[in-house]
Amino acid sequence: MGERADVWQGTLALMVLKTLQALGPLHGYGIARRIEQTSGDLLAVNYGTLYPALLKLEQEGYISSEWGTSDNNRKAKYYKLTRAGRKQLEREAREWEQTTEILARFLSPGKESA
Amino acid sequence: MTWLRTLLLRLAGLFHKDRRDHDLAAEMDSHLQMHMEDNLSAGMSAEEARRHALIKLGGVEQIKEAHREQRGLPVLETLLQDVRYGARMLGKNPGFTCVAILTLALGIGASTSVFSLINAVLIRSLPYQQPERLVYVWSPNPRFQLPIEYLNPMNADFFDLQKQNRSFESLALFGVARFNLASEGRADALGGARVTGDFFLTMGIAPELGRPVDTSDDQPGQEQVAVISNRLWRTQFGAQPDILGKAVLLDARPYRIIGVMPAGFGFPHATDVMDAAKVTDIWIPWAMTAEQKNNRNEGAGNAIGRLRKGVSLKQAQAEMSTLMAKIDLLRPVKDQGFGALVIPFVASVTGAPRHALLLLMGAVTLLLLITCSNVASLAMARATGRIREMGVRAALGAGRPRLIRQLLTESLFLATGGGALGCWMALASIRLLMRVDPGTMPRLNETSLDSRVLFFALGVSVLTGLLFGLFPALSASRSDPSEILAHSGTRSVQGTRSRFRQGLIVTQVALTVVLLTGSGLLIRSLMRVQSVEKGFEPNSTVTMSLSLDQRYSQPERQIPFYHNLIDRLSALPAVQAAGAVTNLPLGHGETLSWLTVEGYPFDEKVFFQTRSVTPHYFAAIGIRLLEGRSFTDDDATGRPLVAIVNRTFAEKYFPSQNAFGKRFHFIDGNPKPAWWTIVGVVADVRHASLEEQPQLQAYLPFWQSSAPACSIVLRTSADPLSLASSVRKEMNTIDPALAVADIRTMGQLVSESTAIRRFQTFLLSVFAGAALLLSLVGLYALLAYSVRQRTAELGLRMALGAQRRDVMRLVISQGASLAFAGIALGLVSAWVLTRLLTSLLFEVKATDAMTFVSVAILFCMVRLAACYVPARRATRVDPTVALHYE
Repeated sequence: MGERADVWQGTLALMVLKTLQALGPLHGYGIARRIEQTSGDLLAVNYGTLYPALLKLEQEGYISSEWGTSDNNRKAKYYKLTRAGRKQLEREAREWEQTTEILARFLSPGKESA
Repeated sequence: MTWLRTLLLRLAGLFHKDRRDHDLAAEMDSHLQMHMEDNLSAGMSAEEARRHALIKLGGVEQIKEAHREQRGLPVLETLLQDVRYGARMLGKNPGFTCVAILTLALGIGASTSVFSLINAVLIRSLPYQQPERLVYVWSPNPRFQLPIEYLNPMNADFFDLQKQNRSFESLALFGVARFNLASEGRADALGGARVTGDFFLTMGIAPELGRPVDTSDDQPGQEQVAVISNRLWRTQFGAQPDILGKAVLLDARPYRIIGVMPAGFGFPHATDVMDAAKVTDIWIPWAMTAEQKNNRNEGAGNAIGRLRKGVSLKQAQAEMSTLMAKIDLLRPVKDQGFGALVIPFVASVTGAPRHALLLLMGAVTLLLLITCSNVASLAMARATGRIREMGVRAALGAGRPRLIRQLLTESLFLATGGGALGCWMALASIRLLMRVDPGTMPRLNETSLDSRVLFFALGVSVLTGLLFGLFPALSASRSDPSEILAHSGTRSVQGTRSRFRQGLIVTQVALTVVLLTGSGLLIRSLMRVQSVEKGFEPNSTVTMSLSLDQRYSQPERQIPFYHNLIDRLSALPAVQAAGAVTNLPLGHGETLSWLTVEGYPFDEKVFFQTRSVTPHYFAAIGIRLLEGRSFTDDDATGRPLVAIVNRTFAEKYFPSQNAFGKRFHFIDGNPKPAWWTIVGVVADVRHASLEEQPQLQAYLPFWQSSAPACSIVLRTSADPLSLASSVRKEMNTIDPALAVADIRTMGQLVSESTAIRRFQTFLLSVFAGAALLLSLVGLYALLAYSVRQRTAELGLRMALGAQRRDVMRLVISQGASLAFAGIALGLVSAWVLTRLLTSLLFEVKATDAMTFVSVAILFCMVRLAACYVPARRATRVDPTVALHYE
């Protein structure tokens, strides 16, 4: 399996929002799996930490939840992105890009900013 | 707004915990199942699939905990936990809880009700627009030493000021009046005012209906219009919406109603200016003739002004003084000397009651301190009993802040309970206070628990909670678990804690002694006032006031009317004597005159209280004739002018001689004055107030100097109310357009004149009584507790041969030393503090020995009672039981 990084809180929220945008309504397990897969199994999501994060997002009004039935006929709680969530995703994605860009410039040798 | 939404949701998360927990468990379960299915399809065994899924999920309990923390508000939840725990602890100890809550309720309730009085009378703004810009303008003259309310500016001076000043937005005159309002065959006497055109503009209040009196109305010929009060509109006119334009008969003249004021406006009130009725119901324009306006020797009205925006009181005063200095020169040199004095309106409305109310607030603060120290002392006693509990909690890992928080939560819990009960008590006591309303404190009747008062109560509750909770909490949480848990039993430890408690008791006793001394001094003053020689006999005397209209402006019309009235009233079966007088004693009206007594030089600093009275006035009101004769019906117009003077007058001017036959005349500008000959001397009467020494007084025969308004005095054996209706009937027969008003007994007037004093004394005594009760409870609780703590020691002493007497002495002496220290400290503080009371005392010194000694004795007796019960209990300690206890 190799070295795997832990996910930190702020980025986890962003990943959740992005996942829901990409896949539409999804249950907690699905979100966790998807994040792991997308990272190419580089990230180890402690599945449990996901639930308080989901609750926080729901309290902030970015996602909403509803009990539904899964593909194999199992009862599961489905989360879906709200309109506020979409905006928040855009905002956070932009901020994240900015941060990474700054860091990239900072770290890449020979290309020091004036 | 996201944070608000989150907060609300998290608050909501505090409820329906079970459902939410269940929801989460179901979600976890479905998660696990799905994961296991995936694992199975990936080829794992069932066992392995489950294990992997569980590992990946992490600790289920941790998730639930994290979820719960995210769901609710952990801080609030700990607090709720503390509150629940506190409530349980308090519930387990109902005795302590009840005493503490009741004590707090007493303290908080008392301070809240006094604050609500202060709020109504001093803080709540007056119902006029920007009342801080309103001022009275008086015109004092250093030549006369007169109270300020006699210093109306002279008419011509006023109109000059009105024209020349730049400080005022508007300046108006108003004069109080009584009107007979005739309607449907009967008449009512009402309080009214004549006002110049700027009056309503100055007051800054607009009518609810119609228009106010304005500058188009106060011209001669235009003045037959009236503005009425909301009260009058409702009571007399059934709140008809089409009242405007209706005609009413005031003093037998027709007036057109042009406006109705909003409810609550009744200025001037009796508390505002001299001679005013309790409230004013009718305002009519004051149309002065040119001659009246140019009169520089008569000040008929009170001047009130509204300062321009940005003009300070000081600036206005400076301008008025400069203007008056010039205006004063317009009068003859011998009359000069008038200045101007600008007094803020708000201060004169709230000035008189301020002292009384602040005194009560001071007293109630002392009571609140006693309350705090009492509850603190109880809480400490309880904390000592909980040392083990604290030790255990500390040993189990509770930090000191956590313990302090727990204990403070408990005290705040108690304080909140006390505060709630206190508010209820305040509400009840406000109702009670309304009943003892002296009627002389403006706006006292508007007292209520508004949001400001409730906020005050809340603040006081929290403050007391912290105050009485902090020390016990700090001291209890300081415990060292190992030391406490090492001792299995309770011991008699006389450490710092009990010294602190003893300090509290001493403080309590001292504060109580201060309060008791203060109220003792006031009670003695009240007794002195009530037993003062009034000069008249208030029992079975009924009085009423009467004001004639302009049909009776000539004495030739007045005298037959009064003769007729007095004769008819004297003929009523229940009436023993009937008389008329221009100003009743204690009736808030006074005529001050300058007299020259034959053989003495004129002194403009000396004023005489003068009254016109009918022959049987002295008999009706019960003033004793000391020498000479009373007036008769023969002392009439055209007969020699005669007068009766009081004892002070006679003793000042005719010491060791007979006053009979001596003469005086009035200073009224007449170059050939008329001499009045003294025919009798009567007893001194306290006319202005029971607390003022009798002044120089002179009485003139009514038939030689009648007046358009007077008070009727009847000596009767009948019930005043039934008498009133027969008097009204007689009046109606003589003239249906006239009415009598203010039907009261002299006893009521006497009682009203001491009302503020009684109000103050009553409240202060109630507070002192409450303080006494509280410190009694405090002392009792301390001793009872210490007896319980020392059970083992007492048992040991008794086992070693101590007699009951010795044990009793031991306990009582412990209480005694505390009480004595407290009494001594209290008497010394009272010695210093009662000086603040000096202005409220009457013929009693602030350091009255009698009061101080009685308070000390009273307290010693009470203390003995407080010590006796615990001491008795101590003697009942059974040595064998006590020693087993350890």
